Amino acid sequence: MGASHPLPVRLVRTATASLAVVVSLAAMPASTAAQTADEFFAGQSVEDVWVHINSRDWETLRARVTENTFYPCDLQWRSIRVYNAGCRSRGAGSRNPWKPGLDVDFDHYVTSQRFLGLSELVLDNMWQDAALLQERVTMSVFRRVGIAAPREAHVRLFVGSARQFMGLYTVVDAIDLPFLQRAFGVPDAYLYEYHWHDVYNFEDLGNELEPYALRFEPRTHEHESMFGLYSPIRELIFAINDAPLERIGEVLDLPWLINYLAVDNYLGDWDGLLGYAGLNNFYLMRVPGTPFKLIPWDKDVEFYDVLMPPRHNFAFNVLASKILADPLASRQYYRVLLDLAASNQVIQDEFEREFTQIEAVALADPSKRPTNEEFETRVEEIRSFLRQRPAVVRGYVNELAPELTR
Amino acid sequence: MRSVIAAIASASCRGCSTTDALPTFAAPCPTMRTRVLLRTSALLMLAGATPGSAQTSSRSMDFAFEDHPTVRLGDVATIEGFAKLQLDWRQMDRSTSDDWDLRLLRAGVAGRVFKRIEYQVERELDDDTNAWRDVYVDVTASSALQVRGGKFKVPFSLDRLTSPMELDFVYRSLAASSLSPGRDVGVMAHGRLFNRIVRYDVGLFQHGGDNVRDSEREEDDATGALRVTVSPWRQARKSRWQDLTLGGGFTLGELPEGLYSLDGRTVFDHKLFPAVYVNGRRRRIGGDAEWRNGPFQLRGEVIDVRDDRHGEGTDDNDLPALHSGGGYVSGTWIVTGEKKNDAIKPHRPFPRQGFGAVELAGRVEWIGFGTNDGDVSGGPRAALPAAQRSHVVTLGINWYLNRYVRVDANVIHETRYDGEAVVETEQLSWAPVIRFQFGL
Repeated sequence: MGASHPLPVRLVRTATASLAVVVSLAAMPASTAAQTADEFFAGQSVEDVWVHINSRDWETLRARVTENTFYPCDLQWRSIRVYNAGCRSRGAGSRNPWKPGLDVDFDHYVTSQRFLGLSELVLDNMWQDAALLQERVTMSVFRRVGIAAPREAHVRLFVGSARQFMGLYTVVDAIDLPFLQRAFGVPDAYLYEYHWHDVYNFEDLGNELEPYALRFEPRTHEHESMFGLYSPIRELIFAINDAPLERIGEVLDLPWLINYLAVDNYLGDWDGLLGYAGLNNFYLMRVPGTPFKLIPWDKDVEFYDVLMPPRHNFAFNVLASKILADPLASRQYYRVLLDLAASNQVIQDEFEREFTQIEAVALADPSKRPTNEEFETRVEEIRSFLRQRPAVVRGYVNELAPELTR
Repeated sequence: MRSVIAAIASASCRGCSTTDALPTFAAPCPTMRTRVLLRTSALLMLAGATPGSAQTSSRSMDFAFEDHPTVRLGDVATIEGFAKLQLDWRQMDRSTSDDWDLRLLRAGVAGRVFKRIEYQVERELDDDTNAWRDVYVDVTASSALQVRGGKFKVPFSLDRLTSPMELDFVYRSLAASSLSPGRDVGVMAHGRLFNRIVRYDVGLFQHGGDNVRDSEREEDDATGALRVTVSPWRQARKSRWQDLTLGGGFTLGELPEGLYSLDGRTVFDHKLFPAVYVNGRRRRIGGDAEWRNGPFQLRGEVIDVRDDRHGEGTDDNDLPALHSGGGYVSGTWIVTGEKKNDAIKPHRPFPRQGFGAVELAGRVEWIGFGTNDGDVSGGPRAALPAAQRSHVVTLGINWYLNRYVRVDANVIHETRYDGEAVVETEQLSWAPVIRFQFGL
């Protein structure tokens, strides 16, 4: 469909479509379960979540925190308690025994069991997020530009029969089939989690499928053949390397990607798509017959470099350098950056709202990594970042595409 | 018929020639020991071997070949050697080819010392992990009191206590296989009372038997067992109920904390019971009945097991005891007319005097775990684990060629249930199994 139109038309249409998705999601008549899940993620206050887990299992999970072993647990929110879910330690650099991050899989032991329509829920320990709110703010910005991003809310986590207070966590909407259904309205799709393996920037990986499998772990259709799972990704990488941007747009949603890159850059993310070590922290999804889309994940290192230029690391990435070389695509990228700068007050308001909400709980968090002083210092740093960033970005864009700032 | 015997002997050795680059089937390859025994089996069949066919004697030491090769050291001691072999062919499911399985390969000695002391030492030759089977000494004070010490079967379950060489079917019942304790090291008093009408066995064992999960055996889980059988009409010589025996058993053992629930499996050894956290005590209770009359036999047994789950809930709370159970009803008929007893001796042994004995057999059995009632769930700490069950029907024909060699052919129909739903499997609707058995 859209592939037959020139890129600028598609950019406009997709931007409109993205807005329509956001509007339609807001207006969509939701089921009771969806309303309750919406309430769970509404983030109007810091809710209490209680993980009931046998004390021996909890001790073992903490002692073997690097393992992905599941332990039976119940998850309780308000009066809703889901029994016999599977809990496991999660995270990469954030794994630790003092404040374990948890992945709660509701249908690990009980087929098709759901919690508010969710099959899986992440309890993020925010171990690398000294302000304890960076990821939640970041995901809200992604959603503002029409990119489907996991919903997040802060909770006070209690564990075990003694209801031990483990600290401030965020509950994160896991990226799975229920997420795809909610965010895209599709009952099924191919979904892959990108695993950082080495410094990779969309270079050609060759004809063999194993290098693709090494980086893209299927989260749906897990039992499909290697060819079925990875040949479309191989075609995508071939197109990125060999085809003009017009052709790449047939297999990858470029307007979506441009919005994604703009958010990463505006918020000064140094470990995102154009991170210091290549691609990182995203999911790739595809509904057969439509272009691939990227979904952000694990955004906890934003708001650091207020002077990050718009072209930061673009030269190292095969796809980003093609976008930069295309006048229409690069103009669209700068335009989104300017839009973000124009709506900076909304981001600041969201930040302050969340900070007010979590401050007392964060200071009382007995397991958090930063000291209270470090937490408050980091919050001030982000405030400062958000105050300065719009002017910095406008200045850069004025130099690169002055026609957009007139 | 000689070709049949040759086929039996050669089938077990197919693919094992030292000149073959690759075996032609994936079953455990019969070792040289197996081949020797098989060939001995074939030779015995061809010879129509009879008891006492080889005998030497001297004043101090006699050698006799009765049921087993036996050495007598005057009045001091006897030493009987024995060997057992079971080789199975089976076709389990549609997706895999047929399969050979060396089920059992054992040798041992048994006998008596100073008339009041009996002993047995038996070793599995094809199992390095649990090689020693029965290794015990049994001291007789009187018929009412004998004391046994060593490693032997915990006295529970009629079917489990039946020798593998004397089973009526290729496979032991699921209930006996999965729910009974098996062997362990212990001490047991046993004897017969009231003119052999009552028999009792009561013992204390180091662990919960070798039929529990491997990891459980590392723990401190001493188990006590009691079994009593009654044959009310044993002394009524002409009664058709003379060979009716009613039995009951009970075990009580410590159950260490962990994923140590019983390891229930299907007929073809697929996992049936999921591992569940248990802690406290394991109680087994069983009842059985056996009636023999001429060539007929009827048997039935039920076993019920309850495992405590103290402090195993997600709130460290006590969970309801885990319930497992099973049972069977079986019947056999020796169509050639021999009297049914533990070791069938054909009236016309093959090949010299006739065809041997032929027996028809049928069994209906069931085994289950968990429950279908209440708010059932999955997971190792579920308060009410969802039921996992298997129902099995076995039909068989047993051919006793002579006292040493036997061939059993069974067809097995198994239906698995997950809760109330039938589990779809690749298993053949009626799976054939043939066992070739040799016992010396």
